[in-house]
Amino acid sequence: MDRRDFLKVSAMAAATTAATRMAYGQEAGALDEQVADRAADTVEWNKAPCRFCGVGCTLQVGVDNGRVVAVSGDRKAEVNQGTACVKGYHAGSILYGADRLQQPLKREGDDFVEITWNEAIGIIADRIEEDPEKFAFYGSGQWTIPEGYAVQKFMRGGVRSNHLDPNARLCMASAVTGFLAVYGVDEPAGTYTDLDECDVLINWGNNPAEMHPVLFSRVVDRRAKGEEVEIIDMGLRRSRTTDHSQHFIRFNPHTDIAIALGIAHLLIENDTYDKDFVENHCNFRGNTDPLTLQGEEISFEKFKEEIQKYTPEHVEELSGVDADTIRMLGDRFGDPDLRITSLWCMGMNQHTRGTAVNSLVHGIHLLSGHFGRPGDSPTSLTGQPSACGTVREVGTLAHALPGGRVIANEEERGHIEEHWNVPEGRIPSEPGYHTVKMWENFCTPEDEGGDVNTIWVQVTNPGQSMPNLNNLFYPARELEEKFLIVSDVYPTATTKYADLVLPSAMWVEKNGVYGNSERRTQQWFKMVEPPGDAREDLWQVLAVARELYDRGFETMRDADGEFLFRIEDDDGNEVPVHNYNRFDEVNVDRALYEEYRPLTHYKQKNVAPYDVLVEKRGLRWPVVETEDGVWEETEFRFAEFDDPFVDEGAEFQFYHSPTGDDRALIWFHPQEPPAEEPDDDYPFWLSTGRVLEHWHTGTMTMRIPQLRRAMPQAYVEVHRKDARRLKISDGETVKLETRRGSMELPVWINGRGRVPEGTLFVPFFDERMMINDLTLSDHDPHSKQPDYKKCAARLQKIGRREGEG
Amino acid sequence: MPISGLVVTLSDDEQQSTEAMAALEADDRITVGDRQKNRLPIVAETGSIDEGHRLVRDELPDIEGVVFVDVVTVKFEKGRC
Repeated sequence: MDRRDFLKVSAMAAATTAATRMAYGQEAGALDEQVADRAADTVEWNKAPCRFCGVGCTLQVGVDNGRVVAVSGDRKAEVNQGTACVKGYHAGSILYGADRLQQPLKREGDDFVEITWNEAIGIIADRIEEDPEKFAFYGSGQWTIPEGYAVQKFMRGGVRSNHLDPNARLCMASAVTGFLAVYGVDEPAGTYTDLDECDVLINWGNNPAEMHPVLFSRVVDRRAKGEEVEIIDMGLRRSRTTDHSQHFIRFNPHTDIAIALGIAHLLIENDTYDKDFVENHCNFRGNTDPLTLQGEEISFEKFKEEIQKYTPEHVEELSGVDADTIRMLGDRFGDPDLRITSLWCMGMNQHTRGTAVNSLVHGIHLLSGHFGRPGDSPTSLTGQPSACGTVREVGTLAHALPGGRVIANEEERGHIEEHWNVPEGRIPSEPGYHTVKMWENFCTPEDEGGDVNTIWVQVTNPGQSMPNLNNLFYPARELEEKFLIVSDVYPTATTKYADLVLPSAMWVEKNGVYGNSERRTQQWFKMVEPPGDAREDLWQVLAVARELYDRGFETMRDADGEFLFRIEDDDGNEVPVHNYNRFDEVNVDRALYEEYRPLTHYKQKNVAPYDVLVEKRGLRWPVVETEDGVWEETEFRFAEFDDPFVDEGAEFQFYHSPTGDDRALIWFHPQEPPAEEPDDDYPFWLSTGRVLEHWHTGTMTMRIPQLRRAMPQAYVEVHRKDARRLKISDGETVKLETRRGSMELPVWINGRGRVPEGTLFVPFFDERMMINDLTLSDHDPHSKQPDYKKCAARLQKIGRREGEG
Repeated sequence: MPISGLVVTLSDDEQQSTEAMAALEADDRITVGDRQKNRLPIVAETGSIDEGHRLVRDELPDIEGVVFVDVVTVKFEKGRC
């Protein structure tokens, strides 16, 4: 067999496995042959949410002889209905990369030496004892809910530092501020059900065919059933989503705001806005100087006046989208008989005006009345499996507390202090540093004001995912007083620079609870042991907390002098779970989740009890118990027909309205220029993002041979005309440069996505080609989320400058 | 010469799916695997990346009876991205 035949045979094997699983779900026919042979007797199947994106597919994980041997879509799961994407099918393999971290490592010069867990825990405790206020924790939306809750309590209540922020700041912070600005409370009103019911699906700078493929297939599959659904793809480049869309609307970068304003203009101009909905359920809002998330009240007349100039023709000038297409969008929103769902993710969030564009898209749904009926919904998606559950609900953000509370609110701090039984004033009143500021301070010498000296990173890889790494990551490594602790499962671009590396358990090597993009909370149990001496992130936090408690660190005690993380058995006896060989004696996840759960009631984000979740493929909050003892989930918030917290007869009730009158806010924000635009020196737009095969920084998926082979390295997508002009051929290595850095990488003419002339696209999964050396750290004024989607760049043949031929 | 492992979702309409199967089998670039209900694994071997893209994006979805095309794996020759 020659190499070509071998490649064909292996491609057919992969395709057959996928086809079988897609066709049969978890039936025996869905398993690899070698597994199927053993499946009947020895493979034990259990549910777990997928480890990757925020869709929240439930997988069935097959374990044989202490090892995950098969993964299948769960047919009982409402989210994925038995399917999974190419990443999900290979999720089991993420546990078994050859280079799993298995022992704590301490940096000594340029090398790492193995140390014991006791030594590692002691080192962290030393750093905290020395300077608690200069200690920061950086996590992610991959923390489980109990992990995030434990870190929340550890930092605010124990260390007394609010410098806790997640990588979700880089991912969906603008969605949060958008929801807060409009509804006064975070997270979508609708759910994935809207995708099953809508007549029109508008993707705003979003590529779900690659980033959320199972969710997108729910829409495309409707066509196979004979249903009609119109898909409108609005973006900076053509993608696989475009292939399934009736309309592709390419707009000039940063002008999605103008398009939303143009739609609002037409709704007013054509008198097709929903007068009843607006009169009964909405207020109008404009910006203040300086900007605030609360803004100021404006009248409907003032709103009309502000959007007057955003005619289709003016929007065409701004956005490059022809006026007739803007009118088409206006007509869709102006048609009350259609059901319209807007879907977005990083395109609208990674935006220096992310809060503005989020608010405006909510606004056109409210203005047109396309809200609150199944299929009529503005809905944001998340990139991580528990960005909603752990970051947004538990509140692992620098300014937040559990259940939608904020640090700046004294009364809300009091709720948490009371719940934790800690003295009043235990939680510092100043919000901590958001991600960019945290890392800026970490990269600034202490004598120049850099007042973060130690960062503990868990479940994320900032050494690859932070923007502008040359400013926000590498400089710290030159500063002696800075100390970087990283808990992870594999060597990464972050562990490479760490002072202390802790080997972590992952996914089904531990218990967990995740919360997905549609408010669905899902639970799973540990199924296999972690390798070597790898241990749960949760245990690591509890062990450090206990070490500090044992050393007499006063604030690791509650008001009665008890350890903050006292875990008890059924008889009320303390179980010393900080002692690792007793960690599994009780379900620590359950204990922490149940401690957290009452805190979710404050803003009607009631999550279901742990034991109820054990029996379910997740439930969407608010979950309330009916008189007959059934725990019922909610598909549509704020709508009387489904939300149990809406008053009878109200029809719609935005019960956390920023204006306190149960109304949502329709905002006006003007179109404004981006932070950086192409010019003579840097003539291209550069956009970054993800690909189907790899998940975020690729630390897991690049270790799955099938996925690595399918997409082995990063590239720069270039339009054919630009390539011809620069005399660059397909596959040629070129130099890509911005004002922040440069890199070399191969060209893919047109590429998987098809960029327009003058635009480049680079995925960020490949640690050998660090595109974030080049990206901007400029961020949204409210959400503090940086813009990874547009900056100015130049491209040149190696050895020659652009234009020199 | 890129080699792609694909899963083609066939229409529930038996006649359409049979015709689609026939069209796929007649294409020299395509090796058809064993059908699993309405999912058909195939391997496509194309002369260039661009041709592979055209096949996946345009040609296969244009076949009557083909509902969806999933890319499972793409293998490139050394030195190509």
